[in-house]
Amino acid sequence: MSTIPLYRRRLLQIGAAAAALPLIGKPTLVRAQDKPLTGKTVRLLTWADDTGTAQLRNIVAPFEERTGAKVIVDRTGGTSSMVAKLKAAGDRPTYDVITLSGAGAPALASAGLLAKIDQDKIPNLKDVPEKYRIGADGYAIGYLLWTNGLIYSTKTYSSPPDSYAALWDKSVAKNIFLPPADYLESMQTVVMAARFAGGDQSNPEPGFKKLEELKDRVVMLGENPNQVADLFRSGSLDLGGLYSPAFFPTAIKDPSYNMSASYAMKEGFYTQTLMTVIPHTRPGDDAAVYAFVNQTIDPVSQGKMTEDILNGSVNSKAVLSEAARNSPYIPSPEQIAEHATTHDDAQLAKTMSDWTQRYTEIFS
Amino acid sequence: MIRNTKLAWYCLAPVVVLLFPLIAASLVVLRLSFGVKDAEWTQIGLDAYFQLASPFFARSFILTLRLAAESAVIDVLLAVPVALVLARLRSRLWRRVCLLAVLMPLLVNLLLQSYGWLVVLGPAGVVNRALLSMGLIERPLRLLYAEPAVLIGLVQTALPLVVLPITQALRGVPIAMEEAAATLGARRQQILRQITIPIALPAVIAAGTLAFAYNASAFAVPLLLGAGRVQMLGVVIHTEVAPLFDFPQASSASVALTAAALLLTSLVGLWGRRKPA
Repeated sequence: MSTIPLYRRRLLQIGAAAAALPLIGKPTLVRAQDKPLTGKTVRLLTWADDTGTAQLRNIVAPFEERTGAKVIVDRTGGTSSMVAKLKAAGDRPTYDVITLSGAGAPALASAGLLAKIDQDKIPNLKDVPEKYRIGADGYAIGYLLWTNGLIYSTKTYSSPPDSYAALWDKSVAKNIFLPPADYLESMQTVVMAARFAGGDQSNPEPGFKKLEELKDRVVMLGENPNQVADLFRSGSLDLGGLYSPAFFPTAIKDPSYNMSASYAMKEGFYTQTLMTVIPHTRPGDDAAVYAFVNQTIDPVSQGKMTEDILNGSVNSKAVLSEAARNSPYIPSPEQIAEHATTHDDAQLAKTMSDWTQRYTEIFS
Repeated sequence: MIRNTKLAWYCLAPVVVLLFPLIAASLVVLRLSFGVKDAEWTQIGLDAYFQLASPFFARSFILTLRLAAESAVIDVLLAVPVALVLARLRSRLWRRVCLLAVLMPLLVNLLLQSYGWLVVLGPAGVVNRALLSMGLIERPLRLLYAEPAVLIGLVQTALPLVVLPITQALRGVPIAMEEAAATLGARRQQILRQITIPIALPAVIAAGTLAFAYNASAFAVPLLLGAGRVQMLGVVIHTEVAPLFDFPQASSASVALTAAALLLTSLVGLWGRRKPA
């Protein structure tokens, strides 16, 4: 007698559960259909530093959310490690996408390790200005802009220096720093000095002579940004460059460090294009790979990367917040369009070894 | 006999396993040194070695060997009195305390030690603050980013490597011999100069060559304390790798440095063996 009510109750429970099933199942089915790359994997090689961390937040996460694809990220030390890894891997498919500094792309391209970029598969490329769009003879596309200006002491300068001539003004800039020889910034400093002295990248001699005039006032070559920041804090540095405020994401905003950055030089500020490349032999699906590359230059992703790591965006329609637009450390797309200048990567690749040695000899 | 040989090989197996990656990596570097830039594994050339004769590399080479030699000599001069104290301390507790103090640099990361020197010698560091507070200077002295700062860093980081073998050697000098000399009228300085040090000399020379070899390949210390202005070969090799991606050049410089350090340490070792005890 007592089993009958239980049996009826159980039947009602099962019936209610069965009736609810379509309501639970249906949304899941709809979500899977909306995500076009579900089940696909993209293997990314990028930096181990803040730039890599920001990439996980601002590019990888939204890409995975939007497409359903999975991104496996390998964060290695720096561009030289990436080049060494890829050369060691040879023809073995290891990575689908690599983001690295501009100098690494030609090295990999000349070793025959990269695929030519199919620009038609990257819709966001149309908003990237010509000079940042393609690099390494078509084997790389622009990713971000590393922007270099002057770093100055707010104790020495009441307003931002507006010319590179400030470096040669002994009466004000008594103690300066320059970039170290193993930074690309040092090569841009040679170009800057050459242009300042009436030469240019193909005629750097005036630049080397001009740099020799700085020798006695150079306190150090800024190998370690923390050391540089500490010297500004202690009042031991007045000015330095070419250098990026991105090296001091915390210190430059802290008033106790007495430092700020200027992109307001009338000669323009310098940029280095960080690149995205696709290896010739890769494990992933082309649709997923190109979709990810497109995401790297998405205007929202670019805006967020710019704000996070104080780099410039290659996409002229990058979405920046009001705070970012007003920040002296973040060049806006308009500033980049009007005042940014750069060097010839292909020409520099031929002369870099010689220039690095000469630069080192001047300051060591 | 056969059992002993087999046992010996089994005992050596972990060492061989550990040595294998080192030997393999060294062979890879050697092969790369004969490569051509951008075709390291497919072409062979001697350009990288010819480049070592250029003034740029030659200056760096000479600077490296000079700083390594200077730091080795200073280390030995500092280490001998410390080793004497360690060797002759009777109290076990104090011996352990002193040994710990000597070993500290080996327990602390090299980068941290270099940062420590930045704190001591930097413009806002201990030395400058003391001098400023005493009114001896008006502006901080530039103690860093030059050869003296790098030399201080090299001496400090290699000191434990020199103290320990000298201490062991001095412990081996029989106290009875020193007492006998004293009873025959020898003064302390004479005992030290004519008995203690000569007996321990092979170990002193070995410790000095160890410091030389260690500092010849220094990278972190000249990079941090020299800030790009003291171009020891380790720093130059780093530049050849990044941003120049010239792996053959970096490898050839490494091979040349290793060969030079091995040659010099062998010559010093030979000289030490020939000296009468």
